[in-house]
Amino acid sequence: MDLDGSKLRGFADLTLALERECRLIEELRQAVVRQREAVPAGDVHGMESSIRLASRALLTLQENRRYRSTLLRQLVGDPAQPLADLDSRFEGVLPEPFVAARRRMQSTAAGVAEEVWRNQELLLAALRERDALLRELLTGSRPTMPETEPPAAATPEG
Amino acid sequence: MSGWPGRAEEPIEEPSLPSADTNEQVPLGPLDPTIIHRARSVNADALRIIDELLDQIADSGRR
Repeated sequence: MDLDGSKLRGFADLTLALERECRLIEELRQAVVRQREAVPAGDVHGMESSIRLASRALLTLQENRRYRSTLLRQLVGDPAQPLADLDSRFEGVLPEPFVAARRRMQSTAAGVAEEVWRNQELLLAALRERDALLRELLTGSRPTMPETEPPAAATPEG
Repeated sequence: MSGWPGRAEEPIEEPSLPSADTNEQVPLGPLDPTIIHRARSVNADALRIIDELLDQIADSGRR
């Protein structure tokens, strides 16, 4: 496929869409950071604020994703076209702003996914701690912790 | 005299209330489990959406 004027305009729109998604993922990161600070501090307002911010970012991300699918359908006829494979659909090099935006969105999304995963672990630990404290208040003793695997260094091999 | 014989001789020690200067706190914290579950639910949505997004960026050979 040739990169004619209309295709170049399509790539410009797609680039803007990717940049918008990248900003939304950054908003999500801010919500995640706020949440991480709020949990140990027991900050209810901080938690509510982070949930609101994250929900709004996710909703807008999904809207933007539908818009990106529309742009892809106009560009190559396939709304589910993987962005990394776009290079093989065109003769010549893709516009640099698009390539940079695609790369930035991938690294940002992967980084934020790790941050969200850390929060999930933190929240789970907070729930378990609360359960343990409640049990301690009710029964006077903490539940015994499940035995964990000994560290690798403590089990010499060979 | 109310109570059982010997009540006056062996008074039961009442547990003392924590004084303000001991700085003791109920160790449960103000975070209700409901809000923690809500946060986890939103985070799960975020992980799903980011995962889908990364799938769309990835080349077809990696899918």
